[in-house]
Amino acid sequence: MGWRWFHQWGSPRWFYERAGRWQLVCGWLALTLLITGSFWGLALAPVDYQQGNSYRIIYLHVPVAFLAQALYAAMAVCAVVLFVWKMKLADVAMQSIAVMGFAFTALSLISGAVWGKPTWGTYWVWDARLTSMLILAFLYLGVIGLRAAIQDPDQAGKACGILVLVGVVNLPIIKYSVEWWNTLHQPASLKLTEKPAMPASMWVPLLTNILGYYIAAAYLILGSMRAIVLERERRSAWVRELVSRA
Amino acid sequence: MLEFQFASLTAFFEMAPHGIYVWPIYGLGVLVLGGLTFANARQHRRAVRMIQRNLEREETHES
Repeated sequence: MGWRWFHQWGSPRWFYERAGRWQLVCGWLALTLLITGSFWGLALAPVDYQQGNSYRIIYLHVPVAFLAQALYAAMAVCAVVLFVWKMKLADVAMQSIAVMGFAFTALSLISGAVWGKPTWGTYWVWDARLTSMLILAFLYLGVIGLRAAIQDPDQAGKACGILVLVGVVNLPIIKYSVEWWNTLHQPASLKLTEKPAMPASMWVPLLTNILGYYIAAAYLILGSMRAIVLERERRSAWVRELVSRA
Repeated sequence: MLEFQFASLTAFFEMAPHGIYVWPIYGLGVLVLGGLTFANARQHRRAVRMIQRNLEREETHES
């Protein structure tokens, strides 16, 4: 077995042929989890004794906020793979993740602002967590803009990779902002190392939605990557054969 | 035991007094996921059409 599984990722054709099937599985799985988790969170989870029903926004806000950071970390891993192994698919993944990452970061900022109004009495404060998340959104926009500004895909990939790696410094700032500074934003609702403070009837649907959004992101990234692979490999014999058969 | 937490469907949609905050966010979530899915499918279709046009052009040239 060895490293064969890793080297297979170097072949856009190998990826394209399989990604369609993976995408289908991810799509249906994500849809099932998101419908279950959202209905559970909106209708079956008990009302919060302090926040009332406004807390139900967390069933969307927390998963997309986690995802926004995880996708940036994934983009950084792709940048390392691109620089070390010169794998073309890593650059394709970076290009796809940037768009999805921006969408989820924007959704996280908007849902957080709307939740903030009934809870804090304001849509926005220049608090460390909110500001560092806003910087994350600008980093994603920077990566998207930089790629659009450079015509040569190889050069664009390298430039984006450097920007992504520089921006990684923002991830620990986001994570620890609620501990390092006195912020209005509360600490994490869910931690891997501790038992959740809320009852199971509240955190199980949250976990379901977190899983659902992660799989939905995989579905979206695979879809976007397949389209980019086709565009970039348009001169390859396998793409020409595939399209002429379609 | 899982129970519906509202007295009626109307109360569920009102989520008094927070329905005005909660529902638009879930609507936006659906819009973002749906929009990205649609954008991916369109990008894929566009790529296939572009390659098909190139192939047709090459065939015309050869003949």
